[in-house]
Amino acid sequence: MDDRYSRQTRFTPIGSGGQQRLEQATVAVLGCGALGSVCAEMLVRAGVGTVRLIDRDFVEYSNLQRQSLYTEDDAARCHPKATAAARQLAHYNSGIKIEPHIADCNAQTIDALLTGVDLVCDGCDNFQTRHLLNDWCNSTKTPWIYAACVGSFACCLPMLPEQTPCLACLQDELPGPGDNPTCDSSGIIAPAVHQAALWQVSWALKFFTTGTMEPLYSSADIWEHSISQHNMSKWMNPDCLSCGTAATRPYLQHTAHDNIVLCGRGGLQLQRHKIAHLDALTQQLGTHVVTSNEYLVRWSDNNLTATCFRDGRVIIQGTQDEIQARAFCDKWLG
Amino acid sequence: MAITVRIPTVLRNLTGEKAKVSIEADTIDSMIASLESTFPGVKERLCDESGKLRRFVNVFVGDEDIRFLDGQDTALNDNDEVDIVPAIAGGC
Repeated sequence: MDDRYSRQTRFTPIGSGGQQRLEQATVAVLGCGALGSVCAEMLVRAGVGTVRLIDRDFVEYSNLQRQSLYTEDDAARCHPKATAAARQLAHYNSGIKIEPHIADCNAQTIDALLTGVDLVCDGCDNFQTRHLLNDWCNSTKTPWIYAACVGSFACCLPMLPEQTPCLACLQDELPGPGDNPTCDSSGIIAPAVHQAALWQVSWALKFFTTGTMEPLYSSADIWEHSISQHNMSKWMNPDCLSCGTAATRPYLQHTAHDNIVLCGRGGLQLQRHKIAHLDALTQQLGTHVVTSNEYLVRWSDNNLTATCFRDGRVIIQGTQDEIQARAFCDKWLG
Repeated sequence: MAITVRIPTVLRNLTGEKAKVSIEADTIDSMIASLESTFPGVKERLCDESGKLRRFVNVFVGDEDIRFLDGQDTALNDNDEVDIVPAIAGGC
């Protein structure tokens, strides 16, 4: 296995010095959907010493077309993405540490999830979580790499606290529902995912090799074979609420939204008490149970489907109505 | 001025799936008006009620963001390429 990284170290800009720095690095992949899958695989194969995988969701059949780490068996068993990804990635490189976390990243949990990382690769599916990540990264001076994709479009922009504009410099207002295309509304093709991830991982490799990243916003429309690049350095805003001189970092203060949030797939997520005995709950749900495993139980009733994780998160599908979702949770979980 | 506008994926349902359109416009504002007259509905997606470009819609003329030029009054020249880049959240 001595020559495992030989082709990478032979690439002069990395060399053996760069490889050593990669092996000492800890990188978090926040969100293990399509982007996170592709990004994590490249980081693991490249020999990043510790790769932390954070995801709150489980594998579904509609993921398999592009989320390259998952199998039909994962979808059949509703396997949580973080642990399914970790198991698959362990086959690719047994010489590094892989740390899966099945968890929602919110203002209460982000510190515990990200403490100790040198870099965060963004695999999120919403701007709320990205702005939280941005606030956290600015407060801890942790670099992160924004990447996103939808349809045939891909984009990427690295963020280096105090040196480049941050997400809040570029976007001080969140797009409202409907303003912002999602993979559910506009679809997504796998090449767009890979394009975004390859920019992201290139920056990560470069960061650990050279210690720096530039604020270049890369975007591409894979279907049209068009690529463009814009230098965003002028966007740094001294009054920015996240990185400016009087930063308040509002997303780190958020508590209200944490109780109920809209998920990427149009479901609602509620936070309930931790489930001490998942088996007991599964038994209690009886014939309504659709799937259960060591991580979660999924059941349905009256056209609504709920998935409850050990950490007390419940994802309700089949309604966008918060009151109805809460009522469903109350009925089954008390 | 004859310019080319690159249409982002999210707006292509309004442009008959065209990724690039060639139109006549002297400024970004007149470009938006011209797009709206050919492809009704585009303006509402790009601008708020007062006609101001929404904060999460980025418009570039060549390499330069119009916020660092003259905003929506930015003058356009023949053969300019205008890039409309909306903020994208997907990672799914």
